[in-house]
Amino acid sequence: MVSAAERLREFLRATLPPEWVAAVEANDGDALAEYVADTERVAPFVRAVAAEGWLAPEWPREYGGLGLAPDEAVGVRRELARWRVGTVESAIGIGWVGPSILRYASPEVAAELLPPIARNETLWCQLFSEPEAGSDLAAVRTRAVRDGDRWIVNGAKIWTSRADRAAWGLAVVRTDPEVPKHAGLTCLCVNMTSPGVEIRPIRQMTGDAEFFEVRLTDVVVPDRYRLGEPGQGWEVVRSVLALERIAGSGVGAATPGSVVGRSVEELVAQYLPTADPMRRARIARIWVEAQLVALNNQRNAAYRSRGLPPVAAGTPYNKVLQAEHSKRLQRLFLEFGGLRLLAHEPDDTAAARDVWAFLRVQPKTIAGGTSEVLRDQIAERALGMPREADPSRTLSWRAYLESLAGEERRP
Amino acid sequence: MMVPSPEQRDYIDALDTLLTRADPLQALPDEPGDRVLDRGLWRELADTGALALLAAPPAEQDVATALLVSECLGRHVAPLPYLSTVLAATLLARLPGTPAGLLDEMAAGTRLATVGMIGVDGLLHPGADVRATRSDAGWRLTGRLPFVPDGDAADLAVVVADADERPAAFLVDLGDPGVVRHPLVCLDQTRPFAAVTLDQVAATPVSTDPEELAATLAAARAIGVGILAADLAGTIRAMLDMSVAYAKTRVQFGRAIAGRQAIKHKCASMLILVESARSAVYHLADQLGDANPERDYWASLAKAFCAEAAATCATEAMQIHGGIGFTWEHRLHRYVKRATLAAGLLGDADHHHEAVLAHLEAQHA
Repeated sequence: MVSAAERLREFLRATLPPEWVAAVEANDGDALAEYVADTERVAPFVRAVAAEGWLAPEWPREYGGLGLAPDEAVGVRRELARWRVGTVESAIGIGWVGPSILRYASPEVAAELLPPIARNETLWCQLFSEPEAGSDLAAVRTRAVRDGDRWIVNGAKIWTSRADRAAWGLAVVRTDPEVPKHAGLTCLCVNMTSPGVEIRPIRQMTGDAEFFEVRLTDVVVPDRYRLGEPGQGWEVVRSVLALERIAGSGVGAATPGSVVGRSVEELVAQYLPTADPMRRARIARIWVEAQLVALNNQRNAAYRSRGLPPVAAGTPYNKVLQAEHSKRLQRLFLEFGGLRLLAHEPDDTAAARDVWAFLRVQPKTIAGGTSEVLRDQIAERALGMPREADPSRTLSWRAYLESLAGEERRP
Repeated sequence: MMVPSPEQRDYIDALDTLLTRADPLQALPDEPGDRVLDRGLWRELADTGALALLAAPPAEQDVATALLVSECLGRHVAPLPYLSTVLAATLLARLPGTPAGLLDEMAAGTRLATVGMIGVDGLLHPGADVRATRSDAGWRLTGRLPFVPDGDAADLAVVVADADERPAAFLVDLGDPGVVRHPLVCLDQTRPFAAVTLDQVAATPVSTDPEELAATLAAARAIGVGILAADLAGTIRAMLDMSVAYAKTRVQFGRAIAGRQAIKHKCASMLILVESARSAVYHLADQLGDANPERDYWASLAKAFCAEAAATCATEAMQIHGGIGFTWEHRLHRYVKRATLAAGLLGDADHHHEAVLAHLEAQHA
């Protein structure tokens, strides 16, 4: 039987421009990166691929996907990554917000919101983190108050990726301050063009501004755009984060376009032939580690497909590995490239790409759960080790805030 | 990627129960000293079918399940001659001169065979130190086998010797009067080695075709490396479980150290290594066919990773256990020693990293 990945390969050969196909088939990473860097040229072709459902292979057909099994979808994602079809921006909608809409929205809202995501027409952002709620995400302070069949939202969100291009945002907000921290949260889909939504870019160490601050002032959200029940927000957030961490687990798991920088194959092709013994050792280790990241994803998907209990109780052990691996890999490109990368001619786009990738992977161990929070989670959920005491789990949110204020007042 | 089937999972669960009940570490002497092989347990293991997985004609071998058995034995640091049996069986099953019925006796656990071609570098290759001569009375072998696994207990050994300047494989009876076994002082008492000298020992030729022999040694090398990688994956899983269990009971400053982030993070990092090692081994399980051109590459990749993971996990497990982990009384040292030997045997991490690079270079050439 022809696998889904093989069908996709045939389709891509027939659909994409000859230069793109040639770069992929010659395994020419530089030419491919050069080609897909022109996002305007590439966009209509990505849409053509998306129109067939390939970007959301596991989604049901009626919502724009292909209804494939998890292990078949792994092959499809690997193939898309090889062809560099898909963008970082589309990952949020396809990778983790979409599946949560599928699970928690009404069929009418799912039919409205999902197909444009699968077709790569509508981008989404996550209105999760706040200045006071980073690793302790359930400590969000943005309030939503019910007003008939709508909610009025006020607060401030931060580290929102691509808020400038997103048509929609998935927000977690506090709807009940009289119950403990995790119990008073609700998830709402916010139309980013609503009055009262203001965004401000945050410039990163790459020089780009992919992240934004988002202020929400008396933003109106119709109740039908609620995901899950009022008070069920933390459960929805956890399911979104679990999917985000699978998507952040590298080759085979990652949504197309979300792996930053050149691949380990490119490192080997460029640097192994001339590597001295010290470098050979480093190349061997990073190669083996890259294969393990991919094998872990294959194994996780194979267990899911057979309905077996997930590896490591479903904790994101491979997200931790992939995040640390990406940083090690991109650092090798930078170190092996040497000074000609650190100080390069203005038109040396290859050097610029390696430098950018090195900088861009730095937050991989922070975004989507810091490696420290995730190691806690692995220890607690996969190994049954005890949690730290957390008074905000038992006090009502209002009483907890008052106790914090009291501590601050004390001399 | 092998996903253990319901039958395989039930089988391994039963094996796990058998080993937990038998508690084979008890058979090791309390003082530093040599293992006395528990032949009763060995035959019980044989009765489950564990030895017949590889002591069978190549077409009937089940390497994937054998890796699961090895992982389970590694989890129990079982002082049983599984590796030597696998190596000998892999060779004998593929070589034409193997006496009829021998594989069946090995599968039943009634005859124990090992191999004599592990060199001083820990690798499996034709031993240059053994000479074969032929007279009217048949073949005779003279020379030295430096590292014979389970050489304390084995009945037979497969030996590669120089026969008229061509390598050939022979079977020797280790009960022959010309055989002297010198037990070596072994770090890992669960897998003892002996040096064996042969003086005009009668031998049965099992292969006199150097090409056939080379291909068969390559198969044994890959499967042996896989068995050790699986053994390591099991041993480090046990180290992690012991560390977590100990940290939950060890109270300092009024609470269990398992609640301390420094300890939790060490354990989480070990889990990442443990699960990755298992992924490498389960993937390898599908790659060990004689005709697979990537067989040796995936075997080396798994061993390179498992060997380094074992060194890290051993260090962390010792650290988490504190002083008690340094005592003879606590069993942790058995695991640390087992992992140290397994990491180095049949090629250490450096050796297998080089093999991985050689494979990549051949692809790019």
